[in-house]
Amino acid sequence: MEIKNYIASGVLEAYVMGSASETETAELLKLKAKYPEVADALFELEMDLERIAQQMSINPPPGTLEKIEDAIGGLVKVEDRMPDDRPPFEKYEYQNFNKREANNQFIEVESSSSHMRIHKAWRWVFAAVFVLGKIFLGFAIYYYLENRQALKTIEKLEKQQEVIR
Amino acid sequence: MLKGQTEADMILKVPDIRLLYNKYSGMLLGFISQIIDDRSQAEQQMINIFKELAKNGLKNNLTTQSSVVTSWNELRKFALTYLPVKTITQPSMAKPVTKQHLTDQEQQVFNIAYYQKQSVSAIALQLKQTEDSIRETLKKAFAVMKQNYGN
Repeated sequence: MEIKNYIASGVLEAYVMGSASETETAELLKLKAKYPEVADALFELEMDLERIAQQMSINPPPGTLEKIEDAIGGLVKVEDRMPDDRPPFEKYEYQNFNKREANNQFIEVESSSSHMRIHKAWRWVFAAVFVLGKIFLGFAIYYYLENRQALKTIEKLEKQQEVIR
Repeated sequence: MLKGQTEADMILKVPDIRLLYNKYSGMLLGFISQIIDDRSQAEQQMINIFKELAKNGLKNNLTTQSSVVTSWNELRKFALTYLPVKTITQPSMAKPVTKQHLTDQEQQVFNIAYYQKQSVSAIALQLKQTEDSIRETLKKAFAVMKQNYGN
């Protein structure tokens, strides 16, 4: 196959767009490894797409990056503090993306975020505490008023008693 | 540590979100805004996509694969898996990339591929054309845009 004809066939454009079939993709990847012209043409097409995207770009409002970092919460590698026999997923914990080490491989554990993350189960505890708080407040007000009323009644009765004497 | 893994393999390969954000957030928001008209929803989708990127980075790290996104095109393809499909039945329904220079057909084929990542065969079926003509149209669309945006 003439490689120039292949490049001109439109398969590369379809591949870059994500529209090529599996067979086309497999063939293209083989040819890309074999012919630098194919790799160069693909790179050019990717650059073309990037230029198109730049023309249509819209700057996000200020504070968006902070929202993203809050949403991510972070993931950290703490392997140095974990024994080697632990499963790999236990070697990661939440971290903050704002602070990175200079070598960019390890991430600081200490968080500078003003937010904290807790398990969802706690919302029921908070809801129960809130509801109980309201109930106790209601009772407190009720008994306070009752008590005040009773004191007034006692005071009135005492006055009446004095008058009778 | 997993069998066969070296200490270096265990180093977290979470994609550098800040770097990707600085480089591509404008492009990504512009891209999403072509699919979702409401700006605040588009911004929220962008936040979600960056969040998914970070999650994906961790997942890849645990399976010892490398990070998936290193270019705009990879980010576009990644984003499309989390975005609603924009229905493009008429060329004018998608906001054209270069409306003054592309023909209606070039515009439509390019937009379907760009915003929906549909296969050539699916586009051919949808537009009742041959696959070769779709590839040819895509190629022409790229050539026209390259000419207009220049290097």
